[in-house]
Amino acid sequence: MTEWLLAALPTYGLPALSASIFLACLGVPLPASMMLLLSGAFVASGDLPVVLTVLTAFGSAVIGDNTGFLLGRYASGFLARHTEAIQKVGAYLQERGAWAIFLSRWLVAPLGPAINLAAGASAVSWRRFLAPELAGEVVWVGLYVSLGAAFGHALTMLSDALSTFIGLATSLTLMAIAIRLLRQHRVRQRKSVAFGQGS
Amino acid sequence: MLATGFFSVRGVVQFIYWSDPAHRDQSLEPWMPLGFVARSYDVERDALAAALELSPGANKGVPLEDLAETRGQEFEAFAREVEAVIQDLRSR
Repeated sequence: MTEWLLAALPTYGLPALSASIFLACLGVPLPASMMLLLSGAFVASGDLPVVLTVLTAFGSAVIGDNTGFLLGRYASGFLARHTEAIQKVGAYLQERGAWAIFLSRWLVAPLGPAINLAAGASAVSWRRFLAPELAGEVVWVGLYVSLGAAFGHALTMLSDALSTFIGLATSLTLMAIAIRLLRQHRVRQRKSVAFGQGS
Repeated sequence: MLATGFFSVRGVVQFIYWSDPAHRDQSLEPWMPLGFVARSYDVERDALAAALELSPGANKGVPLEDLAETRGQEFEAFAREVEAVIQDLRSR
């Protein structure tokens, strides 16, 4: 699958890059980051034009993210009825979601599609979503294209290292969230026990 | 926590694997354009194209597979030829 996609890049060029980034932003499991690294390597080897490549990647990511946001908004009634988690994430995003939205573009990228949906489904306004989203995608595109251009001769090594790093960052984040929720849960339990004894 | 453990172990395994320089040369794949190959193997793109009797610059973004086809070759045969040329260019 990955091989086939990588083959699509030189054959179909930027439309292939655009499509895979757009779909990946919506949660389709495609190696968009790997494609972007490879595009960076192709830019360095003169096989792709630099400005157009960067603009294509950035534009596709922004359109993908905002499509996810809109999907969340349109499906908000359905999502709110069926998942309590979405509401909780939404409340958190509204409060101090800028960092979560920014970092989920590149550092904890696997959470990106879920954050798009949750932000759309919750009360987060489009303006609050857009600024950290744009900033995050600038970092993602800038980082991956430059890394690809600089280390294109060791692409598999680079991609392996990056995916491990992103995986580690994501699992650590999820662990931190889980610990926090557990603590809150315990505090609430204790409070309710104390309240029960008091009355 | 399991996932964190998994990624930590994976990091160590990858570090050991990539520490071996023999693993770093990427083998030629059908999708690689000539310029990408030249960069991967650290040889001049135009020199590589010239040695393969291809016009420099005319094959931008064309994958090896298609180059082989226009030359009426199988990919494997063409890849071996490219590898031989790279060895030759490197030893100069």
